[in-house]
Amino acid sequence: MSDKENLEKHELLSGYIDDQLSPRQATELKRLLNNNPQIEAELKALEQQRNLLRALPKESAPEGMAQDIKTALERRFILDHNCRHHDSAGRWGLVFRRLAATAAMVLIPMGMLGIVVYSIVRQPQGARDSMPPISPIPPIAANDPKPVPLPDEGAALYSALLQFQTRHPVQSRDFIEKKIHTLGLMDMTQIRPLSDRTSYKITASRQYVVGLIKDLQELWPQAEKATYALLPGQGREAVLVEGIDLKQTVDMLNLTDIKKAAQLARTFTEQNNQRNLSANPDGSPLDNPSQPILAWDVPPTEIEQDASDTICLVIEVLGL
Amino acid sequence: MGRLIIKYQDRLYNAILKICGNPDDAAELTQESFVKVLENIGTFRSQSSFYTWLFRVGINLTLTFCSRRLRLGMRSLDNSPGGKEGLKLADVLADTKRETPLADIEKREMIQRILAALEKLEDHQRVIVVLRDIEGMSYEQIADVLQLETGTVKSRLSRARLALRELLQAVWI
Repeated sequence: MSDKENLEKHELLSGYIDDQLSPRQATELKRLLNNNPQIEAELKALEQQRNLLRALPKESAPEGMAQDIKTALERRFILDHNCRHHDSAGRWGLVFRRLAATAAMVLIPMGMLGIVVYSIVRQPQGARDSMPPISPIPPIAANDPKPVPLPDEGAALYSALLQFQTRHPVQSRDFIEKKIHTLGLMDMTQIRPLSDRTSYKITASRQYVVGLIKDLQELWPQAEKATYALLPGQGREAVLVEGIDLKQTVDMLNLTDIKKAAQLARTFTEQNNQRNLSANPDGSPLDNPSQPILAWDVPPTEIEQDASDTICLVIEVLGL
Repeated sequence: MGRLIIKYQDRLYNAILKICGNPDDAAELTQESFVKVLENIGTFRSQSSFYTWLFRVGINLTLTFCSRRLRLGMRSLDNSPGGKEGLKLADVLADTKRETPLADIEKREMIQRILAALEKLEDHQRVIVVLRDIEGMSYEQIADVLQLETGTVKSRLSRARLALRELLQAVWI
């Protein structure tokens, strides 16, 4: 019997024990079984093998499998829920996030580069444009008996006082502080609030101080009286200019020759007195010039010509 | 859900254990089968019974596991055959008067040898023998589980039985 015939015969036997043969196949097999004891023995062996397999003990699932399955299902549900929650934006959300990340990668370095370029380009346009941002001016306690030293006293050679008497001291102080912030002079300014006035001591290069004074032009209309004092030096008394206006103040600050400055101060005083006389019908002079009372220990104006151009200006606001 | 698990867990576990041969692996595969089926219960369209669907998933998982285990060179040691002492298969198979052969012989040795022979079958042959002769599925159910034609089931089962017989004779002699 060939292998093929043997396989066919065995398939018939296998189908027979499973009752899977057609009536014709069953009849044919029965005829073979009657005539061939070997086939009959094979059938019996096949049935016995099947019985052996059926007789194998049925193993039961481990205890608690049902609970394990429920737990696994719950865990997967939670994980799946979380994953879906995180991916709720879907494909377009992912595309958007990628685009946003790419844009950030491009724009952030460009922005940083732009800041660097901007700072390089802006710097030569003048110190006024590159000044630091606004920050609060640290106030000095009113009862601090110790004078606030100048940042560089040796360089502060031109010292002057500009005093405003006003009925709007609060607005005037706010205005001055705002301009100091705007011009970035916080580090060069010290503020001292006193009972009757507020004093700002600015030690900076002449151009900064002149720039500040020009920006304070709106302060004059608010003031009842503005007084400028070129503070005393060795052997010289202070030179006061009563009723000084903005232009005169700028002129005084721009004059580096102290002798000429004193001369100009006297000229301005005469001019202003004449103006006030014409304003007063009785022709009486206004207040006599007096020595200024300073809230600061201001260095004397000593050198005739100050090439270093660092000056010290004290601006005071007195409330009326 | 709980009733479905209780109803089928032992049958599926038993079949998988006979195929993969390791109780721990069988437990894990059974659990995974239930989880997969119950996770996707919404897609069940009743084109087949839940029973055959569950077994289809379980058998697929088990065959995948077996093929991976074979690639990794791992084999179960639980079903290693016993010594060569004892009854000869020919004696057992020839004794047609024994209606319950296992009642008359040393059970443990017999079981080990049958399982050892089963383990040596090729995976697809072992599966079809387990489904038919141990689980007792009909040809149609086996065809549904294995996604085969009924005629193919018939011929494959015949060859698997023949191969098992040869293996049983080899381990018994």
